Amino acid sequence: MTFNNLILLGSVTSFLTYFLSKLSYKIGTVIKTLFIIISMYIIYGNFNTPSSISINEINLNFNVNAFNIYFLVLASFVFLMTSLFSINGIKKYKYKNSYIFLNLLLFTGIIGLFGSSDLITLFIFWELITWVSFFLISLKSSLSRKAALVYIFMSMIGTYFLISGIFIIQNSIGGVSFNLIQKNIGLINTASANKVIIFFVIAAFVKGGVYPLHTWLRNAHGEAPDNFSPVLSGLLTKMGLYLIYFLVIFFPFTKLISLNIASFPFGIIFSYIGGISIIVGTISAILQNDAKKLIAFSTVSHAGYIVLAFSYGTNLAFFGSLMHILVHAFTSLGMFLSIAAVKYRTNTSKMDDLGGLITNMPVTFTTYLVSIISLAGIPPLVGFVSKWMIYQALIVNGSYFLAFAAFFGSIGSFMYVFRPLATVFLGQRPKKYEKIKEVPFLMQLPMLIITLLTVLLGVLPGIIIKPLNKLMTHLGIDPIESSLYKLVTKLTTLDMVLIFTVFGLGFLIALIVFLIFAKTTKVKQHEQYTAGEIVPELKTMPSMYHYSKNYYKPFSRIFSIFPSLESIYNRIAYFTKKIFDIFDNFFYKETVNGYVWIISLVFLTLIIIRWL
Amino acid sequence: MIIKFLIRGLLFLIGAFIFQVSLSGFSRKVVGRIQKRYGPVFWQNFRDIFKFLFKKTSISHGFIFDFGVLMAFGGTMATLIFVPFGNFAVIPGQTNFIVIIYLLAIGLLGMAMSAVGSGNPNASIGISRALTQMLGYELPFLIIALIIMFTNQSSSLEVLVNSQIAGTWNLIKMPLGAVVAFISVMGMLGKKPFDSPIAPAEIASGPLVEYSGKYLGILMIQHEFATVIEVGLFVNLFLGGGKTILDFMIKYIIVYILMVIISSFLPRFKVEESVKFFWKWGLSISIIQAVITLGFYFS
Repeated sequence: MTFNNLILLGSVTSFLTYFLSKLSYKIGTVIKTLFIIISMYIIYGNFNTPSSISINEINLNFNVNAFNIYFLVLASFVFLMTSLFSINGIKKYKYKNSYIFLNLLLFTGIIGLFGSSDLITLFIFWELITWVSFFLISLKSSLSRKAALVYIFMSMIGTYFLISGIFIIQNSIGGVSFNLIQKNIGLINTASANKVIIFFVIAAFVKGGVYPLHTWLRNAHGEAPDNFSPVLSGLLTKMGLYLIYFLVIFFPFTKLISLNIASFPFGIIFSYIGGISIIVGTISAILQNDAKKLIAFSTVSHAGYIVLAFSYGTNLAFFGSLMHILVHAFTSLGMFLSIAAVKYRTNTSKMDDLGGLITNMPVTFTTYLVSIISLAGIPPLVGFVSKWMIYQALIVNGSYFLAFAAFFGSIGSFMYVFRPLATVFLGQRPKKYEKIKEVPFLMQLPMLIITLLTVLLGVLPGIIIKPLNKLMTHLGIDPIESSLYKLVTKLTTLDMVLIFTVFGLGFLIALIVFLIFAKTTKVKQHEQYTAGEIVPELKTMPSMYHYSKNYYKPFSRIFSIFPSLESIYNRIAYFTKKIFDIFDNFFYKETVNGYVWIISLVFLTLIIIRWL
Repeated sequence: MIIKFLIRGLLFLIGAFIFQVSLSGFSRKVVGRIQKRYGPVFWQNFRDIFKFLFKKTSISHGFIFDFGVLMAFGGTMATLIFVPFGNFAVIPGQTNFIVIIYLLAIGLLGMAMSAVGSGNPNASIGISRALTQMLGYELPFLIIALIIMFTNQSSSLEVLVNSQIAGTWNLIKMPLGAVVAFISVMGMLGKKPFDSPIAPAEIASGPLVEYSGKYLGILMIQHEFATVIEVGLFVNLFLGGGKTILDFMIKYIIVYILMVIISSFLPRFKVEESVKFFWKWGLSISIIQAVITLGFYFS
């Protein structure tokens, strides 16, 4: 089957599953999972075979090639994991069949977007995804509807910029297919090139959730259905970053590719914006109370890393950002799925109400733990590899502000990822959660796969580096020096297997020391040091001895006087509304005054026209 | 080959243990003299550690409580392997600064997990303070380290040390940065005035509140190893490491005792005060240092 038929089949299947899942939602989810597996196979089989769909003289062109295969594989993987998870995971949802239908349509859209070989096709799928995800976000509750409205509004701003950019390209190059752009990039003059870059980047920043345009993320991520959040964070934000990747390759504005068409130092500006995005995302994530909103802000910070490294303009940084896309997809899958698993059993993701779930949900806990270690960039997991490359690139060139931002994000991430670990999984377990069980096996499976892959790719990063190096060579960028587990840069060599072995041996020695001394005495959860005070309530109400509210209170005191961007936007919106209220009151209120105004205005216009 | 490295590693760990524990015992004596006390004997810390290790009862609060302690202890030992000690490195060529900084975090994470896993709110408060403070002291330190790595175009500590032995110490090349890094290392060690995470009178020793017996013994050893790493980093980065192990040890002792003396005079910061202190003074001075050094470097 060719790629275009896959897209058509995807849309048809999604409609079919809507009706099939009316019978039983499990049928729908299983079909969805199977379809994703099949399409993975088809994508693989269609390498370098262009195909197209024509509807009313509009051609949708697709081509799976070295440029986009990485994103396609990543997209299918993320969808496969979430759809395995949602076989059981959507049990409590109100609109199950709509969820399945929209989810499969979204998958088709994503595949179409990444597989497209011209900008108009990309734009059409971009819009499709925006609308589908709008409905998906609003599926849950009234709160999520408001979040979805903010999302669609901001996305629309981005979309207009995107289409304007595409028009400029069409006018100056005479076509929008990727091949043509690459061939005729010289035809475009610098002024239009600058415009295109700015327009595209605005669209990318909105979708990617990068600093000044990130405000939709918090509520959209926090209020979206739990099984959809990982896709939203791990994949849909990558759409924006895919656009930046496109720019770097086809519209080079950095020194990475010798042909630099921008007259403006865009690379530096964007990487600084990325740096600010890291800092803002990190600080905001630390101050959140809801686990999902916390991860949403971590997405802002990690989008910042990727933007920073993409626009930094060295091959090491470019490689680091490509890898970081994978890392962030993995970590956000792991984190969101484990929080979704907790929510599946407890019906809440508010960190203040949870606690001590580790004994009930060990697999979920392990997934979360491994994901956050990877997210914080601690060796020997995969998160370290990508961050290490970004650091190397920054240190080699002595960019201390950007390095400061990167370090800030890394150490700050330690703070915010630890909070759910401490308040959801550790500490005192409330009485009502005593009998909670681990989630069903099909929900554990994707979490286990992600955990294993995070460790495996961390110890043997060569597995992923080798294909990425091939991709770099194909794009005309120098590949980085590496073997299966070694990475070589100008500064030093990194040997992941060695680090893993040393750590393993260290752990072994610790275990031996631990075991040779006397056996331990296990105590109950409520048997605590209470400063000599006898607290009988501790046994019946353990949550009173659980520290989770305002976990970083001292830290938030530092930032109490800083204004938030969201409130500034709200204030602008309020101000604009007030201004338009004046017109509203004059013209549209059903008063005599208003009609008189309108009538006299119409007459005035008529008279003027007659005179002319 | 592997066995050779194993033996070297084990010997290094044991040596570091004996050296640092006697030194910290000695430092108790120094503090005692400052406070006009006699102070304990220098092997007092050995007595403490072994007494705790051989206790018959030690309370466990479940799996993660044990696992975190092992992760902390194992992670810290693994980190120590990558720190060169004078002309001695356990695995020559593998002394990457960034690896050390991040591996150190795994020990911290294990410690934090285990402490919070005990279920005591005092421990949680202590950990939240420790992590907050970490955002303070790490940043200026990393910026200074970045400048050093950039000017030498290497992140291997051995290379950095050798370039200092051949030329001048970074302490002389960038005095402002050295001062900032010194204070940052004090923050890392949790010495006063940066000891709010373990404030004994406020939150009952914070993270350590629920530990007893062998757990406490192991964590004390872990703390000593972490001290070796952190002070060792300072000596390697700013004082030119050492031509021999003895050379390194002398520099190390001077730095450590200086820290102990300074900290014994100071009261405790609130945690947000210490973060503000590091951001206001540490960061600004380190950025001034960056501008000066990079200015010289590029001109």
